[in-house]
Amino acid sequence: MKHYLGVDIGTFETKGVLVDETGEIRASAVRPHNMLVPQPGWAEHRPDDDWWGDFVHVTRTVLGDSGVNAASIRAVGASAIGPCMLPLDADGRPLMNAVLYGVDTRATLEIANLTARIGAETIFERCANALTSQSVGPKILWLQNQRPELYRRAAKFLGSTSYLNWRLTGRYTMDHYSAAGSTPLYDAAAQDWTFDLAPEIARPDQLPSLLWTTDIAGVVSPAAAAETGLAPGTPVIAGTIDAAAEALSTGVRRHGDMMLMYGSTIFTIMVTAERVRDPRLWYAPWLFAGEHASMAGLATSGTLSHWFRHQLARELSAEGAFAALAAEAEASPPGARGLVFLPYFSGERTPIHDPDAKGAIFGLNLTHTRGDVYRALFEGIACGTTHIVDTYRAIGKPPARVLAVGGGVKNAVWVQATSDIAGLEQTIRRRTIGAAYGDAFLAALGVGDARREDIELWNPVERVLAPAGAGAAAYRRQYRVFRALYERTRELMAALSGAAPS
Amino acid sequence: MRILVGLDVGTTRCKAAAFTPDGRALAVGESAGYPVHRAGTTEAEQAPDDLWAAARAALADLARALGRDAPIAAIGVCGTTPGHVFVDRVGNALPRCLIWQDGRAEAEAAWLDQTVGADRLARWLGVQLPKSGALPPARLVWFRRHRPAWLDGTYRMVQPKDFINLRLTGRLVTDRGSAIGVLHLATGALDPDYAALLGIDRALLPDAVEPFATIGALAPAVAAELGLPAGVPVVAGWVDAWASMLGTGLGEPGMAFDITGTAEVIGLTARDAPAEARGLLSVPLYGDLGIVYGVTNAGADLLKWFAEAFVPDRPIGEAIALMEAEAGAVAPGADGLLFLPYLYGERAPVWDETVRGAFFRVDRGHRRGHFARAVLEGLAHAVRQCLELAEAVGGVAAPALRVSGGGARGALLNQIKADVLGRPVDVLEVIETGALGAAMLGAIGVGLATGYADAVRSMARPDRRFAPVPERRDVHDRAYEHYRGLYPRLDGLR
Repeated sequence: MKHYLGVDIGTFETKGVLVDETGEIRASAVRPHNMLVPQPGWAEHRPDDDWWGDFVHVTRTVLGDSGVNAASIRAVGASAIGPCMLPLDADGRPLMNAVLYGVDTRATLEIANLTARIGAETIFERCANALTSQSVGPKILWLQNQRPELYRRAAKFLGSTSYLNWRLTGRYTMDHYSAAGSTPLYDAAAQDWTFDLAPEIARPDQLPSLLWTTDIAGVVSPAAAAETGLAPGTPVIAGTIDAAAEALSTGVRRHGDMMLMYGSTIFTIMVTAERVRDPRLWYAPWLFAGEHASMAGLATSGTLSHWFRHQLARELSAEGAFAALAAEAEASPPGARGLVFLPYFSGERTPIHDPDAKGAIFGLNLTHTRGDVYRALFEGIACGTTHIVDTYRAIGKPPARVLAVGGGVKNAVWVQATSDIAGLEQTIRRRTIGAAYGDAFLAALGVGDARREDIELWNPVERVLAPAGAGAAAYRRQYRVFRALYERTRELMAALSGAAPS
Repeated sequence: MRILVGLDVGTTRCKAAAFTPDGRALAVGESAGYPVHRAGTTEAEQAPDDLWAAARAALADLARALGRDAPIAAIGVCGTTPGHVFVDRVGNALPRCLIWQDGRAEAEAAWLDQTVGADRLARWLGVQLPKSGALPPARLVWFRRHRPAWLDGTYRMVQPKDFINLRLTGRLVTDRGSAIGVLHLATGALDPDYAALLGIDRALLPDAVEPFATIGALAPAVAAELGLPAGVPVVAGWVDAWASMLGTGLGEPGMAFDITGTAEVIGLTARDAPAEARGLLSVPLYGDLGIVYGVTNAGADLLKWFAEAFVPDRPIGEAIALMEAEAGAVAPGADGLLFLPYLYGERAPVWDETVRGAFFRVDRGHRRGHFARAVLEGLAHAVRQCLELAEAVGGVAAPALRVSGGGARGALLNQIKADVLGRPVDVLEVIETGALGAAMLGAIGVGLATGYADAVRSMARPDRRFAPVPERRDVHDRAYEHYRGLYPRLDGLR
């Protein structure tokens, strides 16, 4: 029997799975780690502990638990949170903790300066994305400006997956999907590094070589083999960012397929034949040459349910709280008896891109209960998701198939409301373990043991959720008010955000 | 010593209180709560029999506290208005009455505005009433369209407190103030054009007398059941808000008041009542003292709603105390969180039956205490908006605000009002100003006071002052500007 190892580094934990050639999971392991917040707005991981240390730990655990001979592992695939910024010295040793993706907002000044100097239109035209806290380029500039002694010693800049691959194979590589997050260092049309937009950020020799996700980045070195228990010489694919690997695991393979991930935020990836050019959406080349991806995401989603539970349902016991709230929400009818919930508790990302947007709970009357508001919260997120889907519809690129995944898929109110409000069928697959499973599948693709359509066998469709039709009028009204409420109060909320202390 | 008894028939319960002729409270009695039957988004009804059972419970409770053979000189009753009770010739009421919160006649209000017009209505009624689906002109049209049998001569239409008086004395009488919107406020006549429009005649209403006029005596059977002396004079009584204004001690122009509880009754006194009311009500209170005021649909009880909705797992008293404590621990301004208190539509100052409440500018840093504080601050913003409008209409500035009613017990809310309004808030010695005002009417009726001014002077006194904290002024002024900006942006959003 052939086996494939998939490992995914998340913000708060690392997951590993050992999968056999039929797609069965032979063993899995999870190891938690922390996100370090050295000061407000900064977010870091320790690369040798949280990334490589976790990789070694989960790999040894799945090998031990499964009893699988390491020699039967045909390939290794990894994915991770990203894009991250990690400078290495000439010997490939980290010079500092890794700077995480968009949750780290330390380079605000560099973003503003670069955008002003290069011009937002040029950046969008060349890189297909605006400069945001997600972009790696401004974070390298931050290093130059704030930690010049470290910058002087920086021989390479890697991300999370690419650092794992470096430790495994001794080669500096990065996949295109990850590299597209290095704005303004990645040229979307040329699909290559570019240095003309901001030559001061990095030299060509400081960046890794670019590969497609299923290209073989190298083989497990003897040193890495000794540490991990893997067989030396095992192929390692280039890998990618966690959300893309997750999309693969849910069966995103045809043009028009859209992954809809119900996580701490809503995140979507749609694979397309042509590059989608729309400043409201994000772009990356897809994992395979010649294909494209269009992404979108809300700023806060699943995290709102935790906020609600801690703030507005504090008396419920810790164990039973979410079940009790779910029962209360299910007792409330579609449309939450007239409530409209703007989920912009941390501003909003796509499609409105308004960091000053604020939350609202609108339409309250004396008979509304906690359950109504809790239901409205999920309906509000579903309205936000509908806004994304409608953006694609408006530009003539509606998703052909939506594949739902993530912890929130278990939340019946949330998922059904999304189908009902957005008018979407959602395909849900049997295995929901996530990105690590996608990594194992990508590894199998990389060594030619599987074809793209084999995901249907590895992870079959379990059910298709259709719009229920109930409450259609209430939902139409709710979505209409949702859109109008933001438009009408946007300017006032923006004025407020400067006025109030927080 | 003579004892004056006032009974306040409220939205949620009845309260009775006994006073000395100089306004000292001797004892109180209270009923259990009774329900408001709500349906749809605008309907609000109550059962007159519930009200009567509660009135008896409150009076019996008071009688027990006073002891046997207490020297009671008079009883006065005030109650919520407009609440239309239909009583047949033998004194039986229809099982449900529409109460003051019922705004179902919105379409009729619009129809009246279009076909009759505000000016003609004001001539018929002797007062400029706001356009509202919860006020008599529109509601009477609704009766005509949807309940014509109620207007066909079988029934008489009275207010809840008139129904209680009927049960206490066997006499069915109303007062001219309670008949506002039906009879001409100054003359007490039913305008013939108005009568023709509605297809009603004057006999729909019983005689309308002065609120302090004695209408009868406590019936022996009722007196025996309640433990009160038979034969005590009962006066006609008044609109609860107006009785409360007496109890709040309004005696000269420029006195602002806020009677707070289920709703907030906010306004001020002016020399004579201005004719132009701009969405408020401008009526004579007594003598040449006019009042300009508005009634909101929701009041201090909003905190109870919030506690019920978000702390359903604790007993309500405990939950409210918890919410007050959490709200008190949050800085003034609630870190930008805003609340529109329109949970049951809003009367003054926006007069919109279909608008609803909202929290705005929520972010992840807001805790439950922020929401509780925002509820109280939103209420204070509504009070400020009403009072500023009343000042403009009345042409007079009010240096301080007198608060009374059940909501005046909350020290935090009083301080928030002082800070948001930027003026001192004075709390009356007697919080139950409705019952006190009703007792004042009894005092006038039996000659223990020479008139309104005498009763007010001798029976109502402020007790405690909440001073505004100047450092909080800026944050509240800014929040108030945003609060005022919100409603116009939401207009018509359904």
